[in-house]
Amino acid sequence: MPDRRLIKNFDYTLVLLVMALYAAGALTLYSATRGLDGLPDPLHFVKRQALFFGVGLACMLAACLMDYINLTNWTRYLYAGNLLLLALVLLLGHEVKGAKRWIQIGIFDLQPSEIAKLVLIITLAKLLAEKEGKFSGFQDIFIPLIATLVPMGLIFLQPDLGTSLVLAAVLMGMLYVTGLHRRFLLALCLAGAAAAPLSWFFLLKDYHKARLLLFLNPELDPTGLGWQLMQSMIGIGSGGPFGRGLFNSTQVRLQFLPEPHTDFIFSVFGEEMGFAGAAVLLLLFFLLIYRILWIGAHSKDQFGALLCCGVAIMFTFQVLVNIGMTISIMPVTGLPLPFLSYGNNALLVNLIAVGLVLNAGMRRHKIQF
Amino acid sequence: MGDLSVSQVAVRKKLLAMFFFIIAFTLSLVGRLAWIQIVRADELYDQAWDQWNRSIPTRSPRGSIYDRHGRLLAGSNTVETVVALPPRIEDPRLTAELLAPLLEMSADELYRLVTMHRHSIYLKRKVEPEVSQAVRNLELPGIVFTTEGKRYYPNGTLASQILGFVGMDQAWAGVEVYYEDYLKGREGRILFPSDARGRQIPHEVRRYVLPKDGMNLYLTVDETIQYIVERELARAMLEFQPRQAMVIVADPRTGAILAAAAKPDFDPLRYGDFDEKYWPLAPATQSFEPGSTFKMTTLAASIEEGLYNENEYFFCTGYASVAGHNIGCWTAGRGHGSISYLLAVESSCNPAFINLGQRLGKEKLFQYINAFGYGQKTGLDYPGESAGLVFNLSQVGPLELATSSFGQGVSVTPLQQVMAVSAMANGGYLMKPYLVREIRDSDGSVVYERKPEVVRQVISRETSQKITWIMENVVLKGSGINAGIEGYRIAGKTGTAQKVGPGGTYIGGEYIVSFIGFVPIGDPQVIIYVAVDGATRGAQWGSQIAAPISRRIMVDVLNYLQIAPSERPPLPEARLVEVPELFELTVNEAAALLDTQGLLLRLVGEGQYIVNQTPKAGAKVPQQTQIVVYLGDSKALPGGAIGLPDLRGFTAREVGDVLNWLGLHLAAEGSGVAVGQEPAAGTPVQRGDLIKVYFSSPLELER
Repeated sequence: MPDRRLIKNFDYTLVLLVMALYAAGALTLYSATRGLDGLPDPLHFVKRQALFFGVGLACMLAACLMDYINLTNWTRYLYAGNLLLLALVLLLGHEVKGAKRWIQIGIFDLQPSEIAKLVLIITLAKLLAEKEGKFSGFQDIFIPLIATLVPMGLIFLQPDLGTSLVLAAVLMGMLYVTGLHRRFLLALCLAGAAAAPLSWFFLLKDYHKARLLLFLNPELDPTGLGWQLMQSMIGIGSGGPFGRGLFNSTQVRLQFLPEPHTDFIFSVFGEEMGFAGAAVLLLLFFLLIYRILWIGAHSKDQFGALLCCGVAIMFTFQVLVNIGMTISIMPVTGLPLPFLSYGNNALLVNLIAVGLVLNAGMRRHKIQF
Repeated sequence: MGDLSVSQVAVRKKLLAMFFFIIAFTLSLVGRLAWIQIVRADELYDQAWDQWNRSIPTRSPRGSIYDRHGRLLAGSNTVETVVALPPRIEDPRLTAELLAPLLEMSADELYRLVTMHRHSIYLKRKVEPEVSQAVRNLELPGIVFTTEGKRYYPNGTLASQILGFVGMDQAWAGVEVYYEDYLKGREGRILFPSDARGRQIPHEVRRYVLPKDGMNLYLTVDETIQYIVERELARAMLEFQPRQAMVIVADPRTGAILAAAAKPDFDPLRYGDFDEKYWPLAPATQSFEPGSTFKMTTLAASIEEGLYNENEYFFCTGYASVAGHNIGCWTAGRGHGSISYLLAVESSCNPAFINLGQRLGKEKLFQYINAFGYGQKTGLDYPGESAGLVFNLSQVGPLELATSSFGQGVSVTPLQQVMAVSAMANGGYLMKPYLVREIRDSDGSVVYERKPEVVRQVISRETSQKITWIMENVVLKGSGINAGIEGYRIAGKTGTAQKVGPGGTYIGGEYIVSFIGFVPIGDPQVIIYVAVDGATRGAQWGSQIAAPISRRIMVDVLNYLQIAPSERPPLPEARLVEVPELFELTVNEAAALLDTQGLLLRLVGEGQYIVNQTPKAGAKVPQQTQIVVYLGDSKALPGGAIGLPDLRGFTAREVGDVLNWLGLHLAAEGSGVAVGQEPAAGTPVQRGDLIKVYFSSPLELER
């Protein structure tokens, strides 16, 4: 049970950063959703997200309790269970906007792809930590590769391009950190590059292709998705250096912004808080990721280091791609912004991920007898 | 911490590398945000503002145009325009069908408009009040109104070429275009926030940006004088059936244009129905060979340079030999013989003017031609003024010098001639002509006031007086006699120019006859220019056509301006002359005979010879009386079936006389001058037939 030393190593900074990000998210969420048509209560989304934040915090603390090393014993079950859910969602999931992502359980919609991100991080951390940085050939990365490609493929079929790309990023990042020789990384990248045209012609649907290319020139499609991107840019730009003030997003009020509470929540934040607010938000994310990496670097073992590394990659990738999308330097892939975007599953999974990092941090000193 | 495995050290290194990647990513996001939120912030805010606020323009009435005394020439009504806001229309099909009969548009077209992906669209501009009220009564959602101005003209077509006209959104011709920025005012807007689907947000404040009314123009034009001018032009069109007739009346002291018009003209409310060549003010935009009126330039230059001696004698053989060409005098062969320069000038002798031009030399002559403003725009505040065309000094050889001396081979506008002769009348000052004397804003305060502008002094006061005296003699006893008005001292000069065709050669039998004059001598207040282009009836001489038109206009203008007649010089008692016998003469012979007596020739019928006349030979009539003659091919009045002559333009008495000669009976209807007849001209008629002739005053004709 947690002794004093463990508590001494508990990283409060990380928790405070998470709280701050969540608070920014909650205020923006209120601004984005209070005027939505047919909402029973202007606080509907805020309350629901707060509920899951509470649950998530509890889960986070729970995740600290037991030494993370025990996860290695359950990895195979977690992994298998997740694959089962991913398969189930394809069979039973209800379709929203052409994608099957959720399994309804009572009032809760389970989103297995969010869980898959954390499960893959744990799985890869276990598989790669066993190698101890010794890669002799392709056979050594074969298993991690397959372990990634299977959930990635299932998620891609939903379809959810964004999340499957998160998995790919996590794999590449973790392989890099484990010390995979550059040659192999390069080969993997080339394979990915070779697969890209194939998937372009055989796997990607037209709307995917359109979305992927649109950020290069949003004016090409001024009525559809390009219009959304333009609206996002206009919103963020009209915020100027200091923003239009909290709850003052005209883009939201006049309903110019698509998905203001999920994928495009940063547009609302950018319009209301301006460049100053956006820079502070990015600083918070940067500090969060920095803390995670710091803990990873000081982990007692490779499993802990890789765990933190995976979480850091997941957050970095999502922040980069989500904010990049709203300011038109990244393609539209439909990824939520961690802790800010509305999404119960993502919030839970992100908090549990932070919990695992905290866990690794608490136990960073090797127990010395 | 000291016992890290080798692989863990490697992991730390990689994590550090990753950390730098993350710094780079974060900085790139910050950089991009700075670009959007700081560098492009204003641009994107403007874009945002534009899409948040929808607006419908409201136009203020255009400024009005008044004459010099504040009488309205062109006003503006506020009318409504029917606008559709497609996102707010509930039932486009029904809307289209209900509106179709009211707006007189097809339901399909309206349906297309109200379903367009626009936040607002004009359905019909500037509708009548009854129509907008009927549309309003339907209470259709998404159908709104905005106000716009619509021109109206209390005097119909009066001064249409000066005013120009206004299309839906802007002026297209005349002072309306020249002063567009003053007249149009500033558009206002009704602003309302609107959501992404173009729906108006309830409870949001509408804001109005008030339109700014256009400013009002006060022209130099006098409505009454313009009216007199256009009435006489309309009458001339009827009498002489020319291609075109034009008049300018101006104040020679200031350059202010009192009236200017050409016929045919157009109706500014239906400008599209008229040939666009009739839109501009021809006296300022058309240039042509001036003929004898241009001789005043040569004369003025000669007097100023001391090269003219009125007592010196000159022998006119009927032509002048220049560089191997024989240039004829208008006397055609006979020549003036030995005459004084004064007489030669008064009788417009071409060889005498060639002689004066040769004495001046090309440098001096063209120096004066340019100084009088020929070959350059006068600077009138009117679009599309013509500069005319005079020779470049380098192009001038002996032949060009000779022809330019008496008004051939140059092309000038009537306006240029008016300004040049104004300079001769006012003591030598070339004035800049103008049409707008004042601009006031909608509150009535003056924002612009035009002062007369002297371009330059061209000749001395003495020269001006001398030339005025010579021009007075032209009206007293020369070719301008038919422009004379008892009791007034009038200076003038007639002109007859052969028309130049497109190829640069003269068109046989087509002339532009003109008269330019000013009154009263000593204190000239009014200058007038009359030109009739391609008259098809009557003798094509300035003295026979242009001078009488000028006289009729001036009589009314002098009366209107209350310019009192001067006592001196006394006119010949009652100016009675004996009507000569014209029987068997040709038109030209008769015209020459009448011209010297100060009588006017009017022709009826067709043929080479005069077969009858009224008043009869030997009758004593005042000068400027019109002698109506009947033309035929044989030398007797025709018997049996004859072609009915064209009677339009004659007075009831004249028509009565002519029909009487032909043994026809008149059934007159209306009064004034004949404007129509039954049967039509050319129809074979028998003695004793009843001819119905409609009379009307030229004024009513115009309406």
